[in-house]
Amino acid sequence: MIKFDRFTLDNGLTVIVHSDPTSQTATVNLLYKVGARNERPERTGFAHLFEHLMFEGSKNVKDFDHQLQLAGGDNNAYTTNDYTNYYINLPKQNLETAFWLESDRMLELDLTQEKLDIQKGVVIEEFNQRYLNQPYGDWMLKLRPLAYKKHPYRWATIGMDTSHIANATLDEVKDFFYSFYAPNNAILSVAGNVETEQVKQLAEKWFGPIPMRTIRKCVIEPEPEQTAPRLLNIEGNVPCNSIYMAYHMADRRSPEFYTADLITDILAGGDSSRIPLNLIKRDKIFSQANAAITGSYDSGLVILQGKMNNGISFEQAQEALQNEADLLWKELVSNHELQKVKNCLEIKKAVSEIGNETKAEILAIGEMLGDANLINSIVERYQHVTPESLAAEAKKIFSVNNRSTIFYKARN
Amino acid sequence: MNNLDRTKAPSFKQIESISLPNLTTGRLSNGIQFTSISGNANDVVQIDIFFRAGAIFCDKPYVAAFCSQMMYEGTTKHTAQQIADELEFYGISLTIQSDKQFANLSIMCLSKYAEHALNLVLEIICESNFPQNELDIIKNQSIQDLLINQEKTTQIARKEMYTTLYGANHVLGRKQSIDLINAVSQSDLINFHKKHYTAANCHLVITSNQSSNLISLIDKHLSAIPQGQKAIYPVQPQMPAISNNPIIIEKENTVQSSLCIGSQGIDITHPDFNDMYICRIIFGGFFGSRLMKNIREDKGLTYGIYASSVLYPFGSTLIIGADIKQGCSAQTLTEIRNEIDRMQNEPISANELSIARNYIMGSMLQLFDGPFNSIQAINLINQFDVTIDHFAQRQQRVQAITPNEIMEAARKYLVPEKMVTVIVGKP
Repeated sequence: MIKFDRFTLDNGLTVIVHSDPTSQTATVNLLYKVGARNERPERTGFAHLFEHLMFEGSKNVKDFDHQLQLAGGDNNAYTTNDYTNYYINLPKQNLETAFWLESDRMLELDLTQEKLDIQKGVVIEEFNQRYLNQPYGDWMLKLRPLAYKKHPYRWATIGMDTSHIANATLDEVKDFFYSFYAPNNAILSVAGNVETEQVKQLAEKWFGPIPMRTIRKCVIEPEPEQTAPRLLNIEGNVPCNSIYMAYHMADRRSPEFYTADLITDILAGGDSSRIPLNLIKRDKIFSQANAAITGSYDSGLVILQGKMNNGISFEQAQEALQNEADLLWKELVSNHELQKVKNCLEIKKAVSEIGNETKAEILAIGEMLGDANLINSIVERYQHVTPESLAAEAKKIFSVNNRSTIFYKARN
Repeated sequence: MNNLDRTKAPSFKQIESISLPNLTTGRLSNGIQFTSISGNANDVVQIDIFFRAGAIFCDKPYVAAFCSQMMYEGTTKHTAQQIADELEFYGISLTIQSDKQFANLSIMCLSKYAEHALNLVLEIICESNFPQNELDIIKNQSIQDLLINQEKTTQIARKEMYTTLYGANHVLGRKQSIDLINAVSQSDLINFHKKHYTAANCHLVITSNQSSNLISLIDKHLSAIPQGQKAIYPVQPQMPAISNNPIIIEKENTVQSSLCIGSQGIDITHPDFNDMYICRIIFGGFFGSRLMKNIREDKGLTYGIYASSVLYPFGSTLIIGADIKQGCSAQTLTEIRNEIDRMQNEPISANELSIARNYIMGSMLQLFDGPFNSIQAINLINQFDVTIDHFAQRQQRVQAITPNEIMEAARKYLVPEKMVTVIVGKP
């Protein structure tokens, strides 16, 4: 149970405060409700490029990092398809520094062509380092457009192509800022050795004067239902063949989201789960295999993947994973097995409620999903899943017509 | 509201000292040494069991690593599946890893399940039986991992740096190969396990809300670990002479070049360690470092460049690493060299020193914020058998060090002539 207070400033900024008097530090987490989903198809990777520019100085503070380091703090940020999250950890006595820095870059950025050009270079090297220069590094870049035909989830946060990043202009960057970076499109979450009254005063002082802005409405085309299996063959300089299978699943706010999460835990949540036992150890189809969900706001993906042993064909690998998935609805899972994956969530939740950084983050994400209090009822939501509801959901998800497969072949 | 001056930083406090956690140390009834830290743990318990069972203790590569990995794979009483099922049913996470020095079994669970966890882990420690079928699976996985790593430019560069710097017969410079993986036998593992997974080679780190009952529970179970003999670190071969010329490994189909520069460093028992540490942080140890400012923020040649240390009692290494834009590795090397010259010859400004000081103090505050964050620091001091005072001394040094002393440290420990440089990619 995480206790918190919540209030909203006149300009629409939502503020959440969690107080932990045992800590010596505090985390200030600022989530903006903008992600790769808000990009135009010819300018993908933009939200993430923009995240880099947020560290390049604001109207009144030229050197964000230096000022923070002077106050003994550190910070980072990440961009997802749905939101962009910034956080600062710092000594509790220097809390105000974080309010000063974060509010100034919400007010106005100090953008120049030179800064943009340098950060384009950095982001292109990030693209290269993470996705292109790693064996199998591009699989998700290929799987997204196979599984999504309309929805902006068809591209990854890094973007579809480095040329999109290279072509971004300063005007577009400024326009993006005023369209999405605003108090009324953000959630400020503070956790640590702080008091609500103190946070209220600081929030009013630093964020209060920032004007509300008009948020650009993005019409996001829902992904049409998939009606036939899809297959993509690719080749790469990789040591062994690998398979990736994606199935559409429920959105983040629906009860079925939790069912899908438990489904992947039963398949591959631990050493005693089904894929490691049956497909790695018993049948020796894969050397490594996994199941996970993307967890996105709109309808996400269940992804099954495996690196195949020598002598196993792609068809065999696909059949093995499909059969394992289908077993979840052909035979009801036992109460014991279902209870096991639920019990594992209990400890995961306890661990996530230890540090300031994770607490501030999960509160902000909960609020974005509709209510920060979500995290306090999450165990209950998982408890509602029964063997029968799990089977019904598995049958829906693992329909062959809902499947997009990549055969990633090792080039000899 | 209107008179808010945003150009002026709000006043902030320098962190002058950080209170270090109270550690309890003691021994179980069979002599196993433990360090215990308590605090706000949200009813989660972590018990880290370390054995002197890292790679240094076996001349045959992979034996130590496979021995630790195989501890998941069944005992004389239970199959791997039964053990995994039992652990997971109680939400007990058991992570087993080994490095060059130790094998570490790390238990994390809700305190109400600590007894279940200890019961099972004791069985794993004492009665693992290393079945052949599971060993074959682990070898197969390791071969695939090796093949994948041999495609990663960063991994190739780091491996080559270590082998060149230490020589292939030193534990840090050992080569990897499929043949070496295949050469490991079941009896290698059984023998290694018997010798090293013993009370004499064991120490614990215990993290919890409140440790008093927990320690007696741990004693009840883990005091059954057989005594054995304490292993000593085998003497490692002398380091070979090195050349200053960069080693270039060409690799087709790459879009970046990985750069890895290594030199022999010092560990925390050396009187200069804290000076070297502060010098390294300023040079390449954080986002505001010289290397990051120059090569990422001014030139956009990389996503990240860092200088780090990897510490072992039998060899510590200072490493500079980055993945560099194609065609720019020569320019990057020149810039690194320039930054080393500046570190050695230009006194740091008061402002930059103040940033570094505050950054280091702030990160130390984070390091000791809550019992779980502190585990990393405890593990470091246990690695070298020093006390938590090391961090008190570090604080003092951070406050007292002068620009001249930083230059001094750079001249001693950032020495281009002693560095091995490896570049992997299209040069």
